[in-house]
Amino acid sequence: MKLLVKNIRGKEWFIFLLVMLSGLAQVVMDVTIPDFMARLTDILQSDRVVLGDVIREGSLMLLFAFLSLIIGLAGAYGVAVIAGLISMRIREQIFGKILDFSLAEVSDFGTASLITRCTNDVTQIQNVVVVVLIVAFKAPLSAVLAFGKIVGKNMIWTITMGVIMLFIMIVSLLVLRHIMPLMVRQQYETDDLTRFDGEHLRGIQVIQAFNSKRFHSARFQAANDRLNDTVKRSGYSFTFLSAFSNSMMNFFNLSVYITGAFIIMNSSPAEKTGLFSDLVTFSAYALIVMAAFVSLVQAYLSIAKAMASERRISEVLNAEVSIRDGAGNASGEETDSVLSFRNVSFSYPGASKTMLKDISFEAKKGETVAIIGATGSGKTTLLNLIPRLFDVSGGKILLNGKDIRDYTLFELRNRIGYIPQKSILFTGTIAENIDYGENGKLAAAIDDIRRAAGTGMADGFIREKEEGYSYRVSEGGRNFSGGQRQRLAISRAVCRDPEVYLFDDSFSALDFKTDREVRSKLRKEAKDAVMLIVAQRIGTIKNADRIIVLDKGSIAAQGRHAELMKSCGIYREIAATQLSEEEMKAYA
Amino acid sequence: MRDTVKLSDFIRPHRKALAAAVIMGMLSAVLNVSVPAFISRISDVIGRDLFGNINLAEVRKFGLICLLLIAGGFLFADLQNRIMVEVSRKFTGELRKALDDKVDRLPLHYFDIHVNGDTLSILTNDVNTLNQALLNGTIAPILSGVTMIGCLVLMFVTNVTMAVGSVLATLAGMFVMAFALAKTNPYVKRQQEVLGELNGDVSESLNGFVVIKSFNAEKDVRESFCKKNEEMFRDNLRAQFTNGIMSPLMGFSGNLGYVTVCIIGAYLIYAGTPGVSIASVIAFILYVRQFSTPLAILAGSLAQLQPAFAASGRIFGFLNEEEMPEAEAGKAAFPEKTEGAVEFDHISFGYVPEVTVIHDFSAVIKPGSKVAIVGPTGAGKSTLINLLLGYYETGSGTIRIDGTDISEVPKEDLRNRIGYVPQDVWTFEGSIKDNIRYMNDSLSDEDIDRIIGLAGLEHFVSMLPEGADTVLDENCSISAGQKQLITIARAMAKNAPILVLDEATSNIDTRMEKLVQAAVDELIKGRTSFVIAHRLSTIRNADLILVMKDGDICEQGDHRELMEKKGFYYELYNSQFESED
Ligand SMILES: Nc1ncnc2c1ncn2[C@@H]1O[C@H](COP(=O)(O)OP(=O)(O)OP(=O)(O)O)[C@@H](O)[C@H]1O
Ligand SMILES: Nc1ncnc2c1ncn2[C@@H]1O[C@H](COP(=O)(O)OP(=O)(O)OP(=O)(O)O)[C@@H](O)[C@H]1O
Ligand SMILES: [Mg+2]
Ligand SMILES: [Mg+2]
Repeated sequence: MKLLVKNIRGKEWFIFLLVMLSGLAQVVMDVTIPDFMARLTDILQSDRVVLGDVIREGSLMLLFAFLSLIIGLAGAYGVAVIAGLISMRIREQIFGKILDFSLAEVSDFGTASLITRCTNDVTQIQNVVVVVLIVAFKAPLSAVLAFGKIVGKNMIWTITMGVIMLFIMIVSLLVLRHIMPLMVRQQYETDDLTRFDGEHLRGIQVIQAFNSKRFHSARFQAANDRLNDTVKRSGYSFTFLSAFSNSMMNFFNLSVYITGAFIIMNSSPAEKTGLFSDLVTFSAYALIVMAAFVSLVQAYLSIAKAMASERRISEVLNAEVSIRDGAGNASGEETDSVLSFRNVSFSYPGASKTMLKDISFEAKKGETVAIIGATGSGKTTLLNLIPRLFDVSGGKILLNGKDIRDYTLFELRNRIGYIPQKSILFTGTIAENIDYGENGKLAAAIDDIRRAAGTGMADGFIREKEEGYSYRVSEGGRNFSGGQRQRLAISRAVCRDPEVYLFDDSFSALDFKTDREVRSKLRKEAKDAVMLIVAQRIGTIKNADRIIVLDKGSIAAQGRHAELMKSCGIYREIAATQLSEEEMKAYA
Repeated sequence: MRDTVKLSDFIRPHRKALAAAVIMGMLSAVLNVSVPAFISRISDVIGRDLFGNINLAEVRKFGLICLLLIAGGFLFADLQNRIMVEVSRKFTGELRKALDDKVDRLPLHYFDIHVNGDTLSILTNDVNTLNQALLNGTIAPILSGVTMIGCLVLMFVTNVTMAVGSVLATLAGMFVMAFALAKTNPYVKRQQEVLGELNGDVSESLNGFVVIKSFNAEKDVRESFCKKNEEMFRDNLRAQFTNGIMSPLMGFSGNLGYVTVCIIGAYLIYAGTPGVSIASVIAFILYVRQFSTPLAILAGSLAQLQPAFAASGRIFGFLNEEEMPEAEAGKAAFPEKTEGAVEFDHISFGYVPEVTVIHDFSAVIKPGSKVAIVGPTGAGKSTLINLLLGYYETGSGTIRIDGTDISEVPKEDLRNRIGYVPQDVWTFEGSIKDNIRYMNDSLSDEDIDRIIGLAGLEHFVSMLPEGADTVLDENCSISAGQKQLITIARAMAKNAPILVLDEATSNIDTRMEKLVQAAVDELIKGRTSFVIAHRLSTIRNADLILVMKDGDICEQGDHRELMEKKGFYYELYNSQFESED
């Protein structure tokens, strides 16, 4: 509820007021128009029908009806505006919040769940807002108006009414208790469905190759069945309640007349006429009261139904973001290192194992630092710490002498050009993919984009496309070869003109020639930048100013190629798998 | 050409149940409507003997009838509800299943031009919208339709002139309504589309989250999302408004009808038309009042159905997407025992017709040989594999396995013969064991352990608290190299006669690669294998090396021959060892 109220702002409260007034006005109309109808009938039933009277009353009624129509239209407009605004804002807030998340929160919630929360859950809320806005003002007013006509008329009937309303209420609460967990489940099961199907879509190539669609269909089907079963049960409870309330209203009407018969029987003749006419009015108006009550109960139930979604949305909005901006003004130490690791250790959130232990190294302006190590030794993990995708668990990382946690995230990441191990591109043009994100400078001109693509050796194949830089990239870059994707990802980082480059095995899909050319161009273009290169190929890192050999999360050795060939067993082993015998001998 | 799939195909199996639901609904409506009639009989009984002895026996009798009617009305309504939720459960289930199955029959090209999140939205949001409409919007309009027809018949029987007048007034309302619905229809359609786009945006952003974060792209991404979100608001505003005005509009039209009839009635009485009595006019007026309630319900339902139609348009648009051509079963078949002879016969291919990627590619591969495909990035190596696996249709030329044209056998048969490690690794949510075993249920846990050992995963798995039963999901990510090893293990487990390794070891360190390579070499003995690799050391021992350049084979032969030739391969090979200037 708070979520809704918070999202109506300023002048929009006037629209809200308009909706309210229109609701009230419509109730008044609803009461008045039948009077006109009755009067028209009376005129027709009178002995001498005067056409003029009919036309006069008729036009008056039409005028009223027209007024009611206009008010109704205005009300409908208000409802549409408010419901639309609320859902738009909530959607925007969720997505904005997701973008503030760090990786840890995203994997906590799960991608699929965040997707559903952003669309499906908001739709649930919007539907309820509409119901509430339409019913919430009308029903109480018509209940009050109708109740005013019968209040104090007859204790027994009033009590009957109360008892039956109480009964409806109790049943509704029971239904509610039944529905609530179902609603929560329903949304989580929608997550499952999204997850399995997203998996199916992403893995389609492998799934087809392994003829494993049955395996995935079965998983999907199970999730599908679970969801549909839940929807069925909650759907049934809801319709049950409306059938039940309907019957109860009829039952109430009946009981008023039956008790009426007895009451009238046992009353004094003088009271009888009055009682009888009371009976008729009471039943008529009490039914209005009850109808209003029932629709209120149902509106309440819809709200409760949407509470599941509201809670899920609030969970996202109120989630604590683990990685936040630093103060930005702390002053660092005087140092000539651009990047320094000081006794850094790290373990993944929730994992007990320490992934990185006591990592220390320095990288000076214009230096290339290479990281090599076995599969799973923690190379990617180490790089991820620098743009603060995760925060160190111990020790610190300094950029230009200042702890990276003292920078604002924006400022820190502006200085970094990251090429992740998996080259991810986005739907959009090639140019948009290269000139991606912000780096605190002006948007790149087409020449800058070309230059970056040139450095990344992507310019060649881009030019071959008829559309050139406006060629459309599919989601994830599916319409490019593995090596082309990698070169685009490199160009994207180059376009930022960063102080620190992070290459995570970013040359693995390139042939050796391209690999070498890209690196030599980079070295020329970005003379002053620090390059951190994770690679498997000795050739790629041989000329680095410092090579760090990572072994099970610790630094086994660091130094230049020649030194390591002499001193580091692991490095020699790696080299032995790649170099010719003569080369190996040279270092023996 | 396949028949198009229609909504009615999914409704038809349930038509009996739906008919039953409508009948139950009508019975319930009739019973409920007759309750007030009997109550007014009670009222008459009381009124008749107001000052004498009220006939309590009669009151009791009518009371009992009412009770029965109420109970019956509830019962039928409940039955109707039960039937409807069951129908909706089945309908939704079947629809989603059809959608999910469809994914498997789409050509890969579909995924080149569509965003996954958008497709996902069809499966969740659009199906939901349609289901809600089915659940809440089918029976009510049918019931009101029937009531309206009933009223109309009675009205026309009573008096044609007044009936025409009232119908005209109603028609005027309907006309305005239809106009409004037609006007908003494009927006309602767009609304479902934008919802899909938003879904796509969120999904894509989450998949590329690392890049968004490290490139400070949050603002841009948010802006693009907000733009779509605002469009959603505008479309939604119109849709919701139209939805909201239905009821006031029909209310007015009902009142208009009422007044029209009163005036006509008054005129008829005034003119002394024969056969028109005051009583008949009053009766007629009652019909008119009864006529307007179902009208309002009908209007409300129609507005509700509109988004459902839009959703249904998207759902069936997807279901009718062109499918990957599939050979009829039995047209041709592979020989019982696969030898593994593969022949590329003048293959040409382009992902889009205008740009040819593979030009007239021919090669004959002897059974059991190890074939390496090398070449610079973008040469078309993976494309060739895509064709071999039947993901795309060749533009011209044929690929034969053991003499059989692969386009003439069912894809399933073809793929059963090929073990494949794709360039882009993919693991699904499930244990490491399941990821390796995949569809090979015959493999025992010991077999899996052996494969884990062969693929060099032993150490890694032993470090995990739950070993091979550790579930890979978003919370448990593993390194890229580890993922690749799992993918290799998966292909090993498949044990197919032909093996395809597309850059299978690109992210694996070279010491590990050597181990795995030995295992792979052991595995591919006697099988035909295709190996794509940039690290040429892995392919030195290949029986045949195909050197590709810009979609053509520029050289072929074994390592020794090609080195002697001192051509493109020689250059490529030596580039590994050149040191930097
Ligand atoms: N789905 C696609 N749609 C359109 N073009 C594509 C698609 N996939 C690949 N291409 C293009 O076809 C050409 C060949 O790509 P392919 O993936 O076969 O290269 P490759 O030889 O495997 O290169 P790499 O070594 O980089 O993986 C490239 O120019 C690429 O841009
Ligand atoms: N998000 C995560 N949560 C928990 N553990 C993780 C996570 N990501 C990786 N790991 C584990 O941490 C270890 C180091 O992974 P990392 O990705 O840093 O390896 P790597 O050196 O980059 O390997 P590769 O050469 O294969 O890319 C691996 O054992 C991996 O399973
Ligand atoms: Mg890595
Ligand atoms: Mg490739």
